[in-house]
Amino acid sequence: MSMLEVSHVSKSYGSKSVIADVNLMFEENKIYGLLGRNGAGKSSLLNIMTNRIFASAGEVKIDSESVADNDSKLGLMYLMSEVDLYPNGSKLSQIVSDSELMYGGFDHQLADKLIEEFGIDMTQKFGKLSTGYNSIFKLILALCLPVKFVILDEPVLGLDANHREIFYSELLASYSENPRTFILATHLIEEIATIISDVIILDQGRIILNQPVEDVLARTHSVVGPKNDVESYTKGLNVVGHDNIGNIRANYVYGDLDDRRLPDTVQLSNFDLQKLFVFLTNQYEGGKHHEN
Amino acid sequence: MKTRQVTKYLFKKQLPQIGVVYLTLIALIIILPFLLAAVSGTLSSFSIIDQLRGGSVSAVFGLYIFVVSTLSYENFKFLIQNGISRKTFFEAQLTVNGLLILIGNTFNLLYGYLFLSPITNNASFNLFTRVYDSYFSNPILNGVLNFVMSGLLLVVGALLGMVIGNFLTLFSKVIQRLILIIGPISGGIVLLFIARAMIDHRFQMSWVVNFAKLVLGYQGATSYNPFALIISLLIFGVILAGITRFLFGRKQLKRD
Amino acid sequence: MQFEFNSSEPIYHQVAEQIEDAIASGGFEEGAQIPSTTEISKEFHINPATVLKGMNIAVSKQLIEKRRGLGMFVKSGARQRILEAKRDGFFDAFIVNLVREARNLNISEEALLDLVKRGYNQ
Repeated sequence: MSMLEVSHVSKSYGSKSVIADVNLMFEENKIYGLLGRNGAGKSSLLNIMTNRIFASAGEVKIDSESVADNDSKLGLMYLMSEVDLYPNGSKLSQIVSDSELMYGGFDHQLADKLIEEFGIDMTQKFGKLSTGYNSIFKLILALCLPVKFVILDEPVLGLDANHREIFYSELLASYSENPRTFILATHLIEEIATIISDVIILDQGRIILNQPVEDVLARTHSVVGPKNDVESYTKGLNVVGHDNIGNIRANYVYGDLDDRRLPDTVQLSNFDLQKLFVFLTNQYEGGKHHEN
Repeated sequence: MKTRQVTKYLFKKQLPQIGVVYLTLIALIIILPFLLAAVSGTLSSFSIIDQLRGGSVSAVFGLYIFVVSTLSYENFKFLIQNGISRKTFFEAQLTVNGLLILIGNTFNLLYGYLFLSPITNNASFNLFTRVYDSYFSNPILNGVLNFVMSGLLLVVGALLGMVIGNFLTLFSKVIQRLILIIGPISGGIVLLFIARAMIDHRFQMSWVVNFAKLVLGYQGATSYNPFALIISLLIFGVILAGITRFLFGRKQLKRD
Repeated sequence: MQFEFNSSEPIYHQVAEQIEDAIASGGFEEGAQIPSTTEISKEFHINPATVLKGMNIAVSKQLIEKRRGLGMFVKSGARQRILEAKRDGFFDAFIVNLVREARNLNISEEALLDLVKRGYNQ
């Protein structure tokens, strides 16, 4: 059992707080989606988890042992991030063998397959890679190094549709073959909605949602119908967003419904993760717009 | 612990640099003066031996190990990406610097004793041969002490570089530049002030002089005790190593 | 198998339905092996645990069975079971709505039956 635990972690730069008392538990062999808008604190949190930067308070532990200055725990994680930490002048094949030396292993068989599928030239220098191939190269490392926690920050940055398709398929194939914990941090929710088992939403440095996707979806309800009927049906419920189309009103509820009788005129269904994310992180302006 | 792997990685990266350093050295003390002499038409008075006598291999290697020790951020980035702790990085870097010094120091002394001294009629070629050679008359003992002292000087140089470099990486690039400009200037002003004060005898510096005498092992005009300097270097080295370890522990990824 | 997912219904539910539909339409023949969890997961970008949950629903409905070390196979009689279950649900799923709509449009019982006959004759 390997468990990655973020315990009361806060981070501030001067008086500006970027992470505020975050508590998370990443269990073995699950695929987590860490969602947040740009600047929500995703990258800072992941950098703290991998001991790249220091938290202002709190601790990160794997199996109840702190990861700080701890090779055996740090070596269980790989963080693929937007920032490049590899020497620009090194050949890709050199970086692979150096990484293999550090992590004590590398799945060359899978790597060869991925290299061929993505069509990446391993004799190139790291600094010469395009954004897309830069991501691809780091993804290959992430999937082939022998770690228990594969952490991917904006994994498909710069990848075209074909390459994304390959990546998601290979991610799942590799996961089935060799189950381990994945953490996918992104703001592109739709693409990973069916891949992740658990969803964590980070907003302004705070965790505002942390649940299995299935449970989350079961708690989403869109209530559509004539405005008055919809309003009276959803009165007192946790309405997180709404739409108006002429006289028809859609109220989006997150949470349990009560045993009020559903009027014949009103239709009830679920709505998706993307919508929920937008509502919960206050990106949503459509509703307000329609009201004016 | 992954100290062995990290040591291997760093050593493989830094070893070829030594070769480059020595090749550059040859270019600087032989080829460049030769070309200058040829261009200026003074080739007749050009003497390779004079050039060799003038150039200090030890000083150049010392400068190299100092400069290379100030640079650690690139390696830190790679190592933290690969789940290597700051503690391991510190231990490995210390080991690698030690190995490089062992190689450089051995080369420097072999070059000095077996090549430079014979062809220049026993010229002094480093600090020990200039100052401490006369304390003992046994050449083998002197050789050993020279090796230890030169090595320790390089170790202290390297540690000084590590302290300065790692201190600077704690700051952003702008502040680093400010420190690099303001530091030497204010240091120079302080030195100037002290020098003037000493010349004017307005400022009693006897304790500074006494301390320097103690560190250097001064025992009279021509007699210096090598052990005093060796012990001083050891103490200084341990202090610097402690500071370096602390600074390595503060390393973080910078936000740029 | 032709997966088309909508994102507001639980995915495992949809996986089970798609397997059922494929068996009913003859896409998956009785006794034949169906794609593995990994294959479905990889092909349609669905978490393998979710696929497995969908498969387990089909298993509990006696539609497919696991053969140790080999994979999932369509059970004999599965198609029949699905058709029977669909027939059982036919009244609720179609007739109730049909009659309600007919009433809304003032179509009489006789007229409706005529329409049904016409449908059969087409």
